Amino acid sequence: MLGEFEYLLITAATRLGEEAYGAAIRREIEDATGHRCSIGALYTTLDRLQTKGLVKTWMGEATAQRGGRAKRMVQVTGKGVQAATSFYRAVTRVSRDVSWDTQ
Amino acid sequence: MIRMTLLDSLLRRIVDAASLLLDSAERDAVCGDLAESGESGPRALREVLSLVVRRRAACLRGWRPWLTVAGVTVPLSVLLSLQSRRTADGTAIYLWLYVNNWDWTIIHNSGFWQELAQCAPGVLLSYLSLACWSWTTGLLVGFFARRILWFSGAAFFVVALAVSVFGVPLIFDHILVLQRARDFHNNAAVFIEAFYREVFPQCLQLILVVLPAWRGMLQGCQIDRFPRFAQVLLLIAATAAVGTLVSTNLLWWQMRVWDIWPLRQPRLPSLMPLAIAGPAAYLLLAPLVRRARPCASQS
Repeated sequence: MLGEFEYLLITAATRLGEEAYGAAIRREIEDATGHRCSIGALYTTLDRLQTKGLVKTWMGEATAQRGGRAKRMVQVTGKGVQAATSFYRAVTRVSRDVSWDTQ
Repeated sequence: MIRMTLLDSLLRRIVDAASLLLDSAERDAVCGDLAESGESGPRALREVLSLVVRRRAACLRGWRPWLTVAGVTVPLSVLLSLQSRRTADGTAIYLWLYVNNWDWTIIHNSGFWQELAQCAPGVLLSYLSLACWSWTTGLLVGFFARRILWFSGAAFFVVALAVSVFGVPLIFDHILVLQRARDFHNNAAVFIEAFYREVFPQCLQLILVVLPAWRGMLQGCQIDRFPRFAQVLLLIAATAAVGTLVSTNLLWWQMRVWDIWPLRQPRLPSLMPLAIAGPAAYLLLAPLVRRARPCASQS
Protein backbone atom coordinates (compact mmCIF):
# COMPACT_ATOMS: atom_id res chain seq x y z
CA MET A 1 0.00 0.00 0.00
CA LEU A 2 1.29 3.47 -0.89
CA GLY A 3 1.78 6.25 1.60
CA GLU A 4 -0.18 9.45 1.07
CA PHE A 5 2.86 11.44 -0.11
CA GLU A 6 3.84 8.62 -2.46
CA TYR A 7 0.34 8.73 -3.90
CA LEU A 8 0.52 12.50 -4.35
CA LEU A 9 3.86 12.20 -6.11
CA ILE A 10 2.73 9.43 -8.48
CA THR A 11 -0.49 11.30 -9.29
CA ALA A 12 1.38 14.55 -9.98
CA ALA A 13 3.89 12.74 -12.19
CA THR A 14 1.09 11.01 -14.08
CA ARG A 15 -0.72 14.31 -14.64
CA LEU A 16 2.48 15.97 -15.92
CA GLY A 17 3.24 13.07 -18.29
CA GLU A 18 6.42 13.73 -20.29
CA GLU A 19 6.96 17.00 -18.43
CA ALA A 20 7.31 15.29 -15.07
CA TYR A 21 10.52 16.25 -13.30
CA GLY A 22 11.52 17.38 -9.77
CA ALA A 23 10.54 21.07 -9.77
CA ALA A 24 7.34 20.54 -11.81
CA ILE A 25 6.13 17.73 -9.54
CA ARG A 26 6.89 19.86 -6.50
CA ARG A 27 4.83 22.77 -7.90
CA GLU A 28 1.97 20.42 -8.74
CA ILE A 29 1.91 18.99 -5.20
CA GLU A 30 2.13 22.43 -3.57
CA ASP A 31 -0.73 23.75 -5.77
CA ALA A 32 -2.92 20.74 -4.99
CA THR A 33 -2.33 20.56 -1.25
CA GLY A 34 -1.63 24.19 -0.42
CA HIS A 35 1.34 23.04 1.66
CA ARG A 36 5.05 23.36 1.06
CA CYS A 37 6.76 20.32 -0.39
CA SER A 38 10.42 20.05 0.62
CA ILE A 39 13.02 18.95 -1.88
CA GLY A 40 14.36 16.49 0.68
CA ALA A 41 11.00 14.74 0.99
CA LEU A 42 10.48 14.78 -2.78
CA TYR A 43 13.80 13.23 -3.76
CA THR A 44 13.95 10.63 -0.99
CA THR A 45 10.38 9.55 -1.82
CA LEU A 46 11.29 9.38 -5.51
CA ASP A 47 14.20 7.07 -4.64
CA ARG A 48 11.93 4.87 -2.55
CA LEU A 49 9.37 4.64 -5.35
CA GLN A 50 12.11 3.83 -7.83
CA THR A 51 13.42 1.04 -5.58
CA LYS A 52 9.89 -0.39 -5.42
CA GLY A 53 9.71 -0.21 -9.23
CA LEU A 54 6.78 2.24 -9.19
CA VAL A 55 8.58 5.01 -11.09
CA LYS A 56 11.52 5.30 -13.45
CA THR A 57 13.87 8.30 -13.30
CA TRP A 58 16.72 9.56 -15.48
CA MET A 59 18.66 12.77 -15.96
CA GLY A 60 17.19 14.97 -18.66
CA GLU A 61 18.50 17.94 -20.59
CA ALA A 62 19.86 21.15 -19.06
CA THR A 63 18.09 24.45 -19.68
CA ALA A 64 19.17 28.09 -19.32
CA GLN A 65 16.18 28.71 -17.02
CA ARG A 66 17.75 26.24 -14.60
CA GLY A 67 21.21 27.77 -14.78
CA GLY A 68 22.42 25.06 -17.15
CA ARG A 69 21.50 22.26 -14.74
CA ALA A 70 19.92 18.97 -15.79
CA LYS A 71 16.41 17.84 -14.74
CA ARG A 72 15.62 14.57 -13.02
CA MET A 73 12.83 13.26 -15.23
CA VAL A 74 10.18 10.92 -13.82
CA GLN A 75 7.94 8.34 -15.46
CA VAL A 76 5.33 6.28 -13.64
CA THR A 77 5.58 2.55 -14.45
CA GLY A 78 2.66 0.17 -14.94
CA LYS A 79 3.22 -1.11 -11.42
CA GLY A 80 3.07 2.49 -10.16
CA VAL A 81 -0.26 3.07 -11.92
CA GLN A 82 -1.62 -0.12 -10.34
CA ALA A 83 -0.46 0.91 -6.85
CA ALA A 84 -1.98 4.41 -7.21
CA THR A 85 -5.25 2.96 -8.51
CA SER A 86 -5.40 0.57 -5.59
CA PHE A 87 -4.72 3.41 -3.11
CA TYR A 88 -7.38 5.62 -4.73
CA ARG A 89 -9.95 2.82 -4.60
CA ALA A 90 -9.20 2.17 -0.96
CA VAL A 91 -9.62 5.87 -0.10
CA THR A 92 -12.85 6.02 -2.12
CA ARG A 93 -14.23 2.89 -0.43
CA VAL A 94 -13.36 4.01 3.07
CA SER A 95 -14.87 7.45 2.38
CA ARG A 96 -18.20 6.05 1.20
CA ASP A 97 -21.17 7.53 3.08
CA VAL A 98 -18.90 10.07 4.76
CA SER A 99 -19.46 13.66 3.76
CA TRP A 100 -16.65 15.92 4.95
CA ASP A 101 -18.28 19.01 3.44
CA THR A 102 -21.05 19.06 6.07
CA GLN A 103 -18.75 18.63 9.08
CA MET B 1 20.91 47.15 0.21
CA ILE B 2 24.59 46.38 -0.05
CA ARG B 3 24.32 44.34 3.13
CA MET B 4 21.46 42.30 1.59
CA THR B 5 23.48 41.62 -1.57
CA LEU B 6 26.46 40.52 0.48
CA LEU B 7 24.25 38.28 2.61
CA ASP B 8 22.63 36.76 -0.51
CA SER B 9 26.02 36.16 -2.05
CA LEU B 10 27.27 34.56 1.14
CA LEU B 11 24.19 32.35 1.44
CA ARG B 12 24.49 31.34 -2.22
CA ARG B 13 28.06 30.25 -1.55
CA ILE B 14 26.94 28.29 1.52
CA VAL B 15 24.18 26.60 -0.52
CA ASP B 16 26.74 25.70 -3.21
CA ALA B 17 29.07 24.30 -0.56
CA ALA B 18 26.24 22.33 1.11
CA SER B 19 25.16 20.90 -2.25
CA LEU B 20 28.65 19.41 -2.65
CA LEU B 21 27.56 16.86 -0.03
CA LEU B 22 25.12 15.43 -2.60
CA ASP B 23 25.94 13.12 -5.52
CA SER B 24 26.85 15.07 -8.65
CA ALA B 25 23.66 14.10 -10.58
CA GLU B 26 21.45 14.91 -7.62
CA ARG B 27 23.30 18.18 -7.04
CA ASP B 28 22.53 19.15 -10.63
CA ALA B 29 18.84 18.31 -10.29
CA VAL B 30 18.42 20.03 -6.91
CA CYS B 31 20.31 23.21 -7.79
CA GLY B 32 18.42 23.36 -11.09
CA ASP B 33 15.08 23.00 -9.26
CA LEU B 34 16.06 25.78 -6.86
CA ALA B 35 17.12 28.05 -9.73
CA GLU B 36 13.91 27.33 -11.65
CA SER B 37 11.66 28.03 -8.67
CA GLY B 38 13.64 31.18 -7.86
CA GLU B 39 14.40 30.06 -4.35
CA SER B 40 17.49 31.50 -2.79
CA GLY B 41 18.92 32.47 0.57
CA PRO B 42 17.86 30.74 3.77
CA ARG B 43 15.03 28.81 2.14
CA ALA B 44 17.32 27.28 -0.51
CA LEU B 45 19.82 26.40 2.20
CA ARG B 46 17.10 24.72 4.24
CA GLU B 47 15.98 22.71 1.20
CA VAL B 48 19.48 21.49 0.41
CA LEU B 49 20.29 20.69 4.03
CA SER B 50 17.03 18.79 4.47
CA LEU B 51 17.99 16.52 1.57
CA VAL B 52 21.59 16.12 2.79
CA VAL B 53 20.38 15.14 6.28
CA ARG B 54 17.86 12.66 4.86
CA ARG B 55 20.49 11.09 2.60
CA ARG B 56 22.98 10.77 5.45
CA ALA B 57 20.36 9.38 7.83
CA ALA B 58 19.29 6.81 5.22
CA CYS B 59 22.84 5.36 5.24
CA LEU B 60 22.54 4.62 8.96
CA ARG B 61 19.47 2.39 8.58
CA GLY B 62 20.03 -1.25 9.47
CA TRP B 63 22.57 -2.91 11.76
CA ARG B 64 25.60 -3.04 9.45
CA PRO B 65 26.79 0.58 9.79
CA TRP B 66 26.44 0.41 13.56
CA LEU B 67 28.26 -2.93 13.74
CA THR B 68 31.12 -1.51 11.63
CA VAL B 69 31.44 1.52 13.88
CA ALA B 70 31.13 -0.47 17.12
CA GLY B 71 33.25 -3.41 15.99
CA VAL B 72 36.00 -1.75 13.94
CA THR B 73 36.07 2.03 14.24
CA VAL B 74 35.67 2.58 17.98
CA PRO B 75 38.00 -0.20 19.27
CA LEU B 76 40.77 0.76 16.84
CA SER B 77 40.35 4.42 17.69
CA VAL B 78 40.67 3.66 21.42
CA LEU B 79 43.73 1.50 20.82
CA LEU B 80 45.44 4.08 18.60
CA SER B 81 44.78 6.86 21.06
CA LEU B 82 46.25 4.78 23.90
CA GLN B 83 49.25 3.86 21.79
CA SER B 84 49.71 7.52 20.92
CA ARG B 85 49.68 8.50 24.60
CA ARG B 86 52.21 5.81 25.45
CA THR B 87 54.46 6.86 22.58
CA ALA B 88 54.17 10.52 23.57
CA ASP B 89 55.03 9.79 27.21
CA GLY B 90 57.89 7.48 26.28
CA THR B 91 59.53 9.94 23.91
CA ALA B 92 58.79 12.99 26.08
CA ILE B 93 61.53 11.78 28.45
CA TYR B 94 64.17 11.95 25.71
CA LEU B 95 62.84 15.28 24.52
CA TRP B 96 62.97 16.69 28.04
CA LEU B 97 66.44 15.24 28.54
CA TYR B 98 67.87 16.92 25.46
CA VAL B 99 65.81 20.10 25.11
CA ASN B 100 65.21 21.18 28.73
CA ASN B 101 68.71 20.28 29.89
CA TRP B 102 70.59 21.42 26.85
CA ASP B 103 74.16 22.52 27.33
CA TRP B 104 76.40 23.24 24.34
CA THR B 105 79.35 21.62 26.02
CA ILE B 106 77.79 18.15 25.84
CA ILE B 107 78.23 18.00 22.08
CA HIS B 108 81.92 17.46 22.75
CA ASN B 109 81.08 14.53 24.96
CA SER B 110 81.31 11.15 23.18
CA GLY B 111 78.82 9.67 25.66
CA PHE B 112 76.18 12.11 24.41
CA TRP B 113 76.53 10.92 20.82
CA GLN B 114 76.58 7.32 21.91
CA GLU B 115 73.37 7.78 23.91
CA LEU B 116 71.74 9.71 21.08
CA ALA B 117 72.63 6.99 18.58
CA GLN B 118 71.04 4.46 20.89
CA CYS B 119 67.76 6.26 21.56
CA ALA B 120 67.08 8.11 18.27
CA PRO B 121 66.31 5.01 16.15
CA GLY B 122 63.88 3.77 18.81
CA VAL B 123 62.07 7.10 18.96
CA LEU B 124 61.89 7.39 15.17
CA LEU B 125 60.68 3.79 14.88
CA SER B 126 57.94 4.38 17.44
CA TYR B 127 56.79 7.52 15.54
CA LEU B 128 56.91 5.74 12.19
CA SER B 129 54.99 2.75 13.59
CA LEU B 130 52.30 4.99 15.09
CA ALA B 131 51.84 6.88 11.81
CA CYS B 132 51.70 3.59 9.87
CA TRP B 133 49.17 2.07 12.27
CA SER B 134 47.03 5.19 12.06
CA TRP B 135 47.10 5.27 8.28
CA THR B 136 46.35 1.53 8.06
CA THR B 137 43.49 1.83 10.54
CA GLY B 138 42.09 4.71 8.49
CA LEU B 139 42.40 2.57 5.35
CA LEU B 140 40.37 -0.25 6.92
CA VAL B 141 37.75 2.15 8.29
CA GLY B 142 37.50 3.84 4.87
CA PHE B 143 37.13 0.49 3.14
CA PHE B 144 34.59 -1.11 5.46
CA ALA B 145 32.56 2.06 6.11
CA ARG B 146 32.94 4.06 2.90
CA ARG B 147 29.20 4.73 2.59
CA ILE B 148 29.12 6.18 6.08
CA LEU B 149 32.61 7.64 6.14
CA TRP B 150 31.33 10.97 7.52
CA PHE B 151 29.80 9.13 10.48
CA SER B 152 32.53 6.55 10.96
CA GLY B 153 35.25 9.19 10.58
CA ALA B 154 33.55 11.47 13.09
CA ALA B 155 33.17 8.56 15.55
CA PHE B 156 36.86 7.71 15.10
CA PHE B 157 38.10 11.23 15.82
CA VAL B 158 35.65 11.96 18.64
CA VAL B 159 36.53 8.69 20.41
CA ALA B 160 40.27 9.31 19.92
CA LEU B 161 39.90 12.80 21.38
CA ALA B 162 37.77 11.56 24.28
CA VAL B 163 40.28 8.81 25.16
CA SER B 164 43.11 11.28 24.90
CA VAL B 165 41.41 13.76 27.24
CA PHE B 166 39.52 11.53 29.68
CA GLY B 167 41.43 8.21 29.44
CA VAL B 168 39.82 4.75 29.61
CA PRO B 169 38.23 2.72 32.44
CA LEU B 170 40.66 0.81 34.66
CA ILE B 171 39.21 -2.52 33.54
CA PHE B 172 41.30 -2.20 30.37
CA ASP B 173 44.38 -2.75 32.55
CA HIS B 174 43.50 -6.43 32.72
CA ILE B 175 43.65 -6.82 28.95
CA LEU B 176 46.07 -4.15 27.78
CA VAL B 177 49.28 -2.80 29.14
CA LEU B 178 48.38 0.81 29.66
CA GLN B 179 51.15 1.92 31.96
CA ARG B 180 52.85 5.01 30.69
CA ALA B 181 56.10 6.71 31.52
CA ARG B 182 54.24 9.29 33.61
CA ASP B 183 53.05 6.53 35.98
CA PHE B 184 56.61 6.09 37.28
CA HIS B 185 57.68 8.60 39.91
CA ASN B 186 61.25 8.65 38.55
CA ASN B 187 59.91 10.59 35.57
CA ALA B 188 58.08 13.18 37.67
CA ALA B 189 60.46 15.97 36.63
CA VAL B 190 59.36 15.54 33.01
CA PHE B 191 55.64 15.36 33.55
CA ILE B 192 55.45 18.15 36.06
CA GLU B 193 55.71 20.40 33.02
CA ALA B 194 52.33 21.08 31.41
CA PHE B 195 53.83 20.91 27.93
CA TYR B 196 54.95 17.27 28.26
CA ARG B 197 51.89 16.32 30.30
CA GLU B 198 49.14 17.89 28.17
CA VAL B 199 50.32 19.66 25.01
CA PHE B 200 52.90 17.27 23.58
CA PRO B 201 50.59 14.17 23.62
CA GLN B 202 47.85 16.13 21.84
CA CYS B 203 50.27 17.45 19.21
CA LEU B 204 51.63 13.96 18.62
CA GLN B 205 48.10 12.58 18.32
CA LEU B 206 47.21 15.24 15.77
CA ILE B 207 50.31 14.68 13.66
CA LEU B 208 50.76 10.91 13.95
CA VAL B 209 47.16 9.71 14.41
CA VAL B 210 44.56 12.16 13.12
CA LEU B 211 46.26 13.26 9.90
CA PRO B 212 47.50 9.81 8.73
CA ALA B 213 44.18 8.19 9.69
CA TRP B 214 42.23 10.81 7.71
CA ARG B 215 44.48 10.26 4.69
CA GLY B 216 44.05 6.49 5.06
CA MET B 217 40.25 6.83 5.23
CA LEU B 218 40.16 8.79 1.97
CA GLN B 219 42.40 6.21 0.28
CA GLY B 220 40.42 3.34 1.81
CA CYS B 221 37.27 4.60 0.04
CA GLN B 222 39.03 4.05 -3.27
CA ILE B 223 40.35 0.51 -2.77
CA ASP B 224 37.69 -0.58 -5.28
CA ARG B 225 39.93 0.87 -7.99
CA PHE B 226 42.53 -1.82 -7.33
CA PRO B 227 42.33 -5.15 -9.20
CA ARG B 228 40.62 -7.83 -7.10
CA PHE B 229 43.79 -9.77 -6.16
CA ALA B 230 45.50 -6.50 -5.16
CA GLN B 231 42.53 -5.63 -2.95
CA VAL B 232 42.83 -8.99 -1.19
CA LEU B 233 46.60 -8.61 -0.72
CA LEU B 234 46.20 -5.07 0.56
CA LEU B 235 43.50 -6.04 3.04
CA ILE B 236 45.56 -8.98 4.31
CA ALA B 237 48.59 -6.72 4.83
CA ALA B 238 46.46 -4.03 6.49
CA THR B 239 44.78 -6.54 8.78
CA ALA B 240 48.17 -8.01 9.73
CA ALA B 241 49.51 -4.53 10.49
CA VAL B 242 46.52 -3.65 12.64
CA GLY B 243 46.84 -7.09 14.27
CA THR B 244 50.31 -6.08 15.45
CA LEU B 245 48.83 -2.92 16.97
CA VAL B 246 46.39 -5.05 18.95
CA SER B 247 48.86 -7.73 20.04
CA THR B 248 51.71 -5.41 20.88
CA ASN B 249 49.55 -3.91 23.62
CA LEU B 250 48.37 -7.21 25.05
CA LEU B 251 49.70 -8.06 28.47
CA TRP B 252 51.22 -11.43 27.52
CA TRP B 253 53.17 -9.94 24.62
CA GLN B 254 54.53 -7.10 26.70
CA MET B 255 55.62 -9.58 29.37
CA ARG B 256 57.58 -11.50 26.78
CA VAL B 257 59.06 -8.43 25.13
CA TRP B 258 60.26 -7.07 28.45
CA ASP B 259 61.30 -10.47 29.74
CA ILE B 260 59.08 -10.21 32.79
CA TRP B 261 58.79 -13.10 35.23
CA PRO B 262 57.42 -15.81 35.01
CA LEU B 263 57.63 -15.86 31.23
CA ARG B 264 61.35 -15.32 30.86
CA GLN B 265 61.62 -17.53 27.77
CA PRO B 266 61.25 -17.13 24.89
CA ARG B 267 61.95 -13.42 24.64
CA LEU B 268 60.04 -12.02 21.66
CA PRO B 269 60.90 -9.08 19.44
CA SER B 270 58.83 -5.91 19.33
CA LEU B 271 56.09 -6.01 16.71
CA MET B 272 56.53 -2.37 15.80
CA PRO B 273 58.45 -2.89 12.53
CA LEU B 274 55.52 -4.95 11.19
CA ALA B 275 53.35 -1.82 11.38
CA ILE B 276 54.83 -0.78 8.06
CA ALA B 277 53.17 -3.75 6.27
CA GLY B 278 50.00 -1.79 5.39
CA PRO B 279 51.60 1.30 3.82
CA ALA B 280 54.29 -0.85 2.15
CA ALA B 281 51.66 -3.05 0.49
CA TYR B 282 49.77 0.05 -0.66
CA LEU B 283 52.89 1.62 -2.16
CA LEU B 284 53.78 -1.62 -3.93
CA LEU B 285 50.28 -2.18 -5.30
CA ALA B 286 49.39 1.43 -6.16
CA PRO B 287 51.09 1.30 -9.61
CA LEU B 288 48.63 -1.45 -10.58
CA VAL B 289 45.77 1.04 -10.31
CA ARG B 290 47.49 3.59 -12.48
CA ARG B 291 48.27 0.93 -15.10
CA ALA B 292 44.76 -0.54 -15.02
CA ARG B 293 43.00 2.79 -15.60
CA PRO B 294 43.75 3.34 -19.34
CA CYS B 295 42.73 -0.28 -20.10
CA ALA B 296 39.40 0.22 -18.30
CA SER B 297 38.68 3.39 -20.24
CA GLN B 298 39.56 1.71 -23.56
CA SER B 299 37.22 -1.17 -22.90
